[in-house]
Amino acid sequence: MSHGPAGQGANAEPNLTPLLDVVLQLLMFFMMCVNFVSEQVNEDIKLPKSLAVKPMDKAEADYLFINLKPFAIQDFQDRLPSDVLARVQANFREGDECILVPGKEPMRRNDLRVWLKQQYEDARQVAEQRGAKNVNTAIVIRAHKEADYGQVFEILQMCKNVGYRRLMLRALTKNVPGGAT
Amino acid sequence: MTIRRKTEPGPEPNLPVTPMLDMAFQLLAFFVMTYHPSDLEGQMELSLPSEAITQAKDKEDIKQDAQVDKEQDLKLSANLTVIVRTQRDNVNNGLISGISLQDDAGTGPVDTLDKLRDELKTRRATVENKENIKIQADSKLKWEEVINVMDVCQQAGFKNISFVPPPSGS
Repeated sequence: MSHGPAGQGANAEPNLTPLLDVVLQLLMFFMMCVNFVSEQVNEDIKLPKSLAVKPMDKAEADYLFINLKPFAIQDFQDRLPSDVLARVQANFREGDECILVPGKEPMRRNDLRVWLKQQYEDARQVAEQRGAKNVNTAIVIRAHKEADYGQVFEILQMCKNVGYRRLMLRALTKNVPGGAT
Repeated sequence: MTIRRKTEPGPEPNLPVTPMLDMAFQLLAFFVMTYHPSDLEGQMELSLPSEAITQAKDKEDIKQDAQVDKEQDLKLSANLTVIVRTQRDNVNNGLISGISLQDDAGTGPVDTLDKLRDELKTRRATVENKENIKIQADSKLKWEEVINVMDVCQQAGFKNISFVPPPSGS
């Protein structure tokens, strides 16, 4: 107003800058809250709910994720190249035990054993180079709530036999009505 | 300099805020719509038998039958075992069909998870090992139900839960 030359009339343009500030703040908030579906965490898996789970330790980065769920073809339909999809379809029937690890095709238990051994060996060599005594990788098992106990147990057993010492189970935090017990 | 500016103001910088605001609103709408505050994911750490025991065992049993190894693993020494049964019939498909509690003296049936919690609380007062408990579930039991049983054990005060291999043929 004060800068405007005289005789032009009142400048009726609204001041958008504070509005923009607020909008950008909100934008920032929602962008940060979006759960980026990382490759490691499979969103098709419906985890069981538990009262006993603790919040994750974000500082620790040395995790190996194993996802377990009954096989369902629609999980892979639009996500895999057609040749891989055909192979997967030939190998699995609906409801079969299906193990998913980051960056690999759906696996069965035997493939998992081979993969785990390889991973452990790599981790051991890295640990040796660093002068560490043990492999400190934690195995995180994300089992679908419809998975069988027997399957989860076998995987736990396998990780243990391969040599991993730290095993973790993932679940969703259950809210207790009336506060935590 | 200052005097010159006062007398002759330069062209005012004109920042087009409106298109930027439009875009910001679009982005905001997108993130608002895709925002699903879901349940937080947490984790529980499994307690394995201590390192020393396992290493000693590994040395001794290294050539022994795999089955024996299987029996020993993932187990902690505990006085109590919760045994959970299921049936894959059409009625309870992987749900709990029976719970029983085993201690050194024998096995007794428990009706529901709530009763199991009370029973575990009373037993915990008398047993020697107040931290550890074992769960033996049937192979076909749904994982969700296993987690429920684990919750009950935790509520009763047992901190370390270990798994026993499912009985063969279950």
